[in-house]
Amino acid sequence: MRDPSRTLAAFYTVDELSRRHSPVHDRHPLALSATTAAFMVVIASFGRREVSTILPLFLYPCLTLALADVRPAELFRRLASVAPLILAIAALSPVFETAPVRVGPWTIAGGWLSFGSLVVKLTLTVTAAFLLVATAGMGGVARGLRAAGVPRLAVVVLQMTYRYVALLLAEVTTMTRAHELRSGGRRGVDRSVLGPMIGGLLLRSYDRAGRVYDAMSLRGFDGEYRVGQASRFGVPDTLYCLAWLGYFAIVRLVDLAEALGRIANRLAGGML
Amino acid sequence: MHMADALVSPDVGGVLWAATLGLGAYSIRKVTAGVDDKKITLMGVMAAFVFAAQMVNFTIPGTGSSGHLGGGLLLAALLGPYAGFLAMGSVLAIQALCFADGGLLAYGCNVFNLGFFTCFLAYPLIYQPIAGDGSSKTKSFIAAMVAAVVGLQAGAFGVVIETMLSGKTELPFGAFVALMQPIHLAIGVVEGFVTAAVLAYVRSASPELLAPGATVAVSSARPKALLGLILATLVVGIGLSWFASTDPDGLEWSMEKVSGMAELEVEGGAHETAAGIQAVTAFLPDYGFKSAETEEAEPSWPAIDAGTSLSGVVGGVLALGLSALAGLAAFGLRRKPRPAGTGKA
Amino acid sequence: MNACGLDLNAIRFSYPDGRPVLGGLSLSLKPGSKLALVGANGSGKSTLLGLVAGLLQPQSGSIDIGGLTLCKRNLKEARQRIGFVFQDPDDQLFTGSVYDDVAFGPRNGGLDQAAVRERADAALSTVGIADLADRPPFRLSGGEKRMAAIATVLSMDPGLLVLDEPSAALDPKARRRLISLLSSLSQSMLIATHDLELALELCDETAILFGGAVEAAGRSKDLLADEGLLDRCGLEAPLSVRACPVCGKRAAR
Repeated sequence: MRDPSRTLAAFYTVDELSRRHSPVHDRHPLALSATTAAFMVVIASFGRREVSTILPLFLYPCLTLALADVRPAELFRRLASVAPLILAIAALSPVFETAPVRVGPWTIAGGWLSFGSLVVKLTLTVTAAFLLVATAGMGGVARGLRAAGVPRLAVVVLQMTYRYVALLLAEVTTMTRAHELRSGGRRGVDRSVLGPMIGGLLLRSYDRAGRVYDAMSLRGFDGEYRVGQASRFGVPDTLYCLAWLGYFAIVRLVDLAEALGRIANRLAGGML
Repeated sequence: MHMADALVSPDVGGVLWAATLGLGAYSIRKVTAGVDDKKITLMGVMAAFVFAAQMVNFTIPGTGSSGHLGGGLLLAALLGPYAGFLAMGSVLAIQALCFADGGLLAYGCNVFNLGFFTCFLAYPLIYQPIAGDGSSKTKSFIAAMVAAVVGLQAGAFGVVIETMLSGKTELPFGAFVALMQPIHLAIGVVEGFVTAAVLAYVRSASPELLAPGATVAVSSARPKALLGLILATLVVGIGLSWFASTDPDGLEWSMEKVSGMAELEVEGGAHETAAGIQAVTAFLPDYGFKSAETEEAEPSWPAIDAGTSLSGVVGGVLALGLSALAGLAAFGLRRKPRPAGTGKA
Repeated sequence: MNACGLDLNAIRFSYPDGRPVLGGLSLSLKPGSKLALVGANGSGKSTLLGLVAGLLQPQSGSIDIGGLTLCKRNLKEARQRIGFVFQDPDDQLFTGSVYDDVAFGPRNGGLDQAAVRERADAALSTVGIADLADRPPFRLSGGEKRMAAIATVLSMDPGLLVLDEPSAALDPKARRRLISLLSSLSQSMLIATHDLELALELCDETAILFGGAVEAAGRSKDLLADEGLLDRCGLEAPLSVRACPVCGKRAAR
C-alpha cells in the first residue's frame, strides 16, 4: 500500500539532509556524482557469487554516513521499503542453484553465495543512491548532470518535477484523507470515483503548469533557463574523487578481504 | 517492476543507459523543434502529477487487493510520445534518487521498460490507431486497455531479459517468465482501467487538452527510423552481454586477463625489487579471482568449487568491522571539536 | 525604476468560448499611488490583472503602462515595468531555492553575476527574509512564501506592482507584515482583493468592479463606507467603517 503522507515525509527528510554542511556536503556535486557512479559500476561488476570480496566496499557508506552526519535510521527505513522484492528474487537462488561450494571449512549450496551477494549488493547500491541525494541534494545532482553534458531541458524538467512533487503529494494526501473519511473505512478508491479524483488532480496540475509558465515568462523567461554559476571544482574535490576511485579500484583488483584474513591469520599465529 | 541496481550488470546497465540517452536526446530534439516553451513547465508539473497520482490506491474490482497508476501511457496521451517519454524519465529519476525505487545503474533499464514501451510502442502503435480521434468512448476504453496491457507485458519481458543477461541471479528463464508475465497482466489491466478512466474524465471536462493539435503526433515515417535505431542498439547490447555472460561476467572476464598479467609481473619481480614491495606482495598474495584460488588450472564456469577460502570469510568480516570502526571514528572526530553538521538554516 | 502610472481605456474582453468578461472598462492609476480593485467573485478582477500583465489580449481598447502602450511588440519591455504577484505563491516560486527564484528575473534580464546577487540580496532584505535564501519553497510558511513571491518581482525593479489577493490565506501577523511592507514600497500598486480592510488601510483609491465594468471609483474611505453601493455589488462594508450595532456611532477615521 502506497502512502502519500509517508512518501512526503521521506521526501522532506532527504531534502532536509541535503541542505546541511559537512566535509561531504561541501564537495562539488560533480565529485559526489562521479564517485557514486563509479561505486555503482564497481559493485555491479562483481560476479554472481562474490560476497567477501565486496565487503571492503562498506568503508564508503560507513565513512560517508559518519562524515556527512547522516543518521542511519532513515537509510534503514529506505532499505526496508525496497528490500522485500529483491530478497524474494534472491531467496530463489538457493532453490535453483544446488551445486555445492566450499566456504572455508564448510560446504553449502552455491545459491546461498548468490543470495548473500545479492543482499550485499542491494544494501550497498541503495545506500549509495541515498547518500548521493542526501549529500549533493537534488540541486547538486542537477548541476552534476549539467556538468556531465545532459541537455538543459531534461535537467530543468527534472528540477521542476522535484519542485512540484512535494506540492502535489500534499494535495494527494489531503484528497485521500478526505476520501477515507467518507468512504466508511474502505481501503482504496473505488473505480467510479477514480476518474474524477485523479482526473481532477490532473486538470488542476495542468492549470498550475500554465500559471507557472506565466510566472516564468513575466520574469523574462524566453526558453533559456539561466542558473547561477556553479561552484569551482577545487583541489579538495579532486582529492575526494581520486581517493575513493583509487580505493574502489583496489577493492576491485585485489581481494582485500582475503589479504586481511591472511594478515589476521599471521597475527594469530597460523591458527586458522 | 522497477529493476534494482543489485540485479543489473554494468554492461546491461550501460547498454540501456546508452539507449535511454539516445532516445532522450532524440525526444529533446523533437520537443524543442516544434513546441513552445510552455511544454517545459507542462512536462515538469505533469511528471510530478504522475508521481503523486501513483500514491492513490484504489480497489481492484472483484479482488480484495488494490492497485495504482503507472503513468507512462497517460503521459504519452497528454503530452505526446516525446515529451511523455521525457516526463516519464523525470518521474523515474525522482523515484530512483529520492525513494530508492529502482536504481541508478538500473535507471536506463527502468526508463526503457516503463517509458519506451509505453510512449513509443503502446501509444503510437496501439492506442492511437484504436482510439482514433477519441470520439467513441468504447474505442477509447479498449485502446487504453490494450495499450496498457501490451506496454506492461513488453516492460515485464524487458525486466526478465535484462535480469537474465545481467546474470546476477540464476533463476531459470521459464520460471521467471511464468512469474512475471501473469503478474503484469493483472497490473496492465489495472493500468488500463485507470488510464481509461482518467482520460475519459479529461475528455469530458476539458476536451481541448486532448485535441489533436495539443500533442505532437508521431509522423508515420519517424517511428520506423526510431524503432530501427532502438533495435540496432538492443541487438548490439544483447550480443555484447551474451558474449560477456558466457564467460565469467563482462568486466570480470577482462579483469581476469589483466590480473593474470599483473600476477606474473609481481611474482617475477618480487625477489629483485625493494623490500617494501615485497612486504606488500606478501600481504596481498593473490588477486581474489576464481582461477587464483582453485587448484584446477582452468576452472570451468560456473566452477562448482569456486567458493571462498576461510581467510576470505574472516577477512570479509574483518573488512566490515573495520569499515564500521572507521565510520565511528570519523563520527567521533567530527563530533568532538565542534557541533558540526547541524546545518545553517 | 520610477513608479509608473497605468491607464486602461475602454477595454473589451471575452474568453474564446464567447463568455464576455469585460465590456468597455476604463481605469487609471497615478504614478506612485495604490489602487484597490474590489468586486465579487466573477466580477472580472483576475481577468483585468491578466490583461495588464499582457497574459491576455483585449479585443479592443488600450492599456498604457507608464506611457508605453501595450502591444505584442513591446511586451517584453512592458513586462519589465510590471511586477506581477500571483495569488498562489507556489506558482511563482518554481525553482529549488528562494534565492534562485529571486534571482530568476535579473538573470533573464542579462545582468552579470554580481549585479544579480546585489539585486536579489536587496529584494530579500526589503521583504525581510534574507535568512531564508537557501530554503526550498516547499519548506516555507504561508507568510514566508508570500514575502518570497513579492521579492521575486522586487528584484526586477518594477515601477508597478500588480498583486492578486495578496492577503489570502495569511495569518493575522503575516497579514500585518504584508501591509506594512506594501505601504513602505514606493511603486505604484494595483491590488485585487477581497480584503476590504486591507484596501481601506493601504489604498487611497478603490475601484469597485461589477459585471465586467467599473461600478464606482474614488476615495477608498468614501466608497467602502457606502453600504448601499457595496451591497449592490455583492460586497460587505469593512467592520471598521460600519456603525456600531449598539450605539450607532461610527469609528473616527
